[in-house]
Amino acid sequence: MLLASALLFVVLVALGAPVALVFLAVTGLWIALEPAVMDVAVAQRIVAGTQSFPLLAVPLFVLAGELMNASGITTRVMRFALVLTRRVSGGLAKTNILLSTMLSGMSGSANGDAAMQSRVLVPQMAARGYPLPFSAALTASSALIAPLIPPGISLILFGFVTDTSIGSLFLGAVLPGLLLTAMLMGHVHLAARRAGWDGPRERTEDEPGVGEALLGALPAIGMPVLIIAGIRLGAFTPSEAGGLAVAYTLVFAAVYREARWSDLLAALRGTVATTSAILLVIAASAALTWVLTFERVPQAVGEAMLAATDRPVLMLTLVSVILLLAGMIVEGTALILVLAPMFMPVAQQIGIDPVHFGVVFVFMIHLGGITPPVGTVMFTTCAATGVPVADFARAVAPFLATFLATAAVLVLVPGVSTLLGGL
Amino acid sequence: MIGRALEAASLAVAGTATVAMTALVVLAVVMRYAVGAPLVYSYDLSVILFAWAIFAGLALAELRGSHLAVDVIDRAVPERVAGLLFRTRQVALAGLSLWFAWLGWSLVERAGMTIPSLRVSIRWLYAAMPVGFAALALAQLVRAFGPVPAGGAAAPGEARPARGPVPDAR
Repeated sequence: MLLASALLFVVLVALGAPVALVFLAVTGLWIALEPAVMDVAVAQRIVAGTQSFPLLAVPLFVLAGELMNASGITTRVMRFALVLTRRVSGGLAKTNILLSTMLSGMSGSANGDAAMQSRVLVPQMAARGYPLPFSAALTASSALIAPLIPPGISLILFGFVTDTSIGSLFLGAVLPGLLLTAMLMGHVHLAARRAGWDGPRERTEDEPGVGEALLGALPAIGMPVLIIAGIRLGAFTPSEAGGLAVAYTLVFAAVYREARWSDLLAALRGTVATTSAILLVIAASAALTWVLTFERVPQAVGEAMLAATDRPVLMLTLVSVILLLAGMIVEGTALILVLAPMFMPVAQQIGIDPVHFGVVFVFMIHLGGITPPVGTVMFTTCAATGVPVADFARAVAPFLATFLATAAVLVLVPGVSTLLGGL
Repeated sequence: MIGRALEAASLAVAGTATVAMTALVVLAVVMRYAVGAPLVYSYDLSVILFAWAIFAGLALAELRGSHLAVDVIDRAVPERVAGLLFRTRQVALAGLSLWFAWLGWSLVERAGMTIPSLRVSIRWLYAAMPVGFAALALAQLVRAFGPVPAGGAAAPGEARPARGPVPDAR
């Protein structure tokens, strides 16, 4: 039975069926063949899978991010990033990274970040002499900062399925996010210097000063601070923070008066589609994991992993490798929902801090998103920039070295994740 | 034509639920701090609205190609095979969706509980599932007989252009 389920799963995924519907098909197989699994009970599980207040944070933060792009905040943050990087070589490449970092407080997903920057920054980078594949690879790479700086959808989902405090995860991921920013800045600095791209330049007349530009960017940069402070002080829950983030963004949209009604409707349409797609995976995985517990699959997986090693560093390395390989093929959201609840008890049993584990987990699945053969962020970037996947793969390879170095730091130094997460 | 109407209906229901849910969450915070009178029903009502936002939005997500899939095979095989595969897959998935719509309907028929804080039948919650999956099945069929998307079924749904003026980088 278990073998048949696994086989059906692999075949359907390979044939290109959406992951959520594959979960439902496997669950359906159990309904059909196993008398103990009642069909109405499965339906009830699917609906119940959506009935959680913490999950409301997902659509609310997605909506806040969509509205921010429409409101004109994005444009102001970009102006600030351009001013900051004017005097250094590789300025526009560094703008790309800084923009991801500063906007990540508003856009919780790597994919949204990559889509936006592919259109906004990559053409300008090409005009400044950067090779197109390099620009695309950098855009996809810097997009991985977004899920780490609060609020991140992946962190919310991880906290939800493993019963880890979402507030602690948000706070714990801040330093790793900044570490990744610093690593990528170093990488780009060396690459631009060596190739002689985009030297330092003088201030032009109509460019704003640093102070003026900072003022424009402040609403976006202040966002993660407000969210974390509010959650950690117990003023509101992560979901309520999401609602307030929407209200906060709407205030700026009203003040700047750049968004048209059609932009707001487009933001709502994008939010509905993204939310439904993510939450269907959650609802379907709620039904599937319920069926899988009949077969004690999670326990079996846990025992197999503990048999391999009981040393925290080795376990984290093992999990990282599994997630990197799985992330190359399967979309990250599905990996969080299915694998995180299985791996978490193992991690806790051998004394790995839940926040440390969560940060490493979320980092590794996103890394799979920019690597061939399958990667959501990679496809988004390639589609938006017109760079062939093969060229992208060659250009992203040097970045992977930087990512693996960052991953090594995250695995070996728990303090990077737990220093703030423990507050 | 059917696709257009379905997309509009899906957005109308799911979008309204999303807006109402957002307003309710913000209102609940305001009532708690500013007025000092917490809304007892806000939690239950917002998760019911959430369920409608999710299930009613399934059709919209399908029409926009937002459902997460692994589409290596669509890129690997010749165009004509990919087209045939796409149409066959859509029809098969529509069958699966219809089955789950029927399962959801059985759940609605058997449910009798009342949600205490709202004093309404839990059927109002469960009804989201059959409605949503039936609309999803229809959306899958609409796409099955429409144009084959380039680069596989899961076209990057989030790849939207940034709106608003873009500052020129000098």
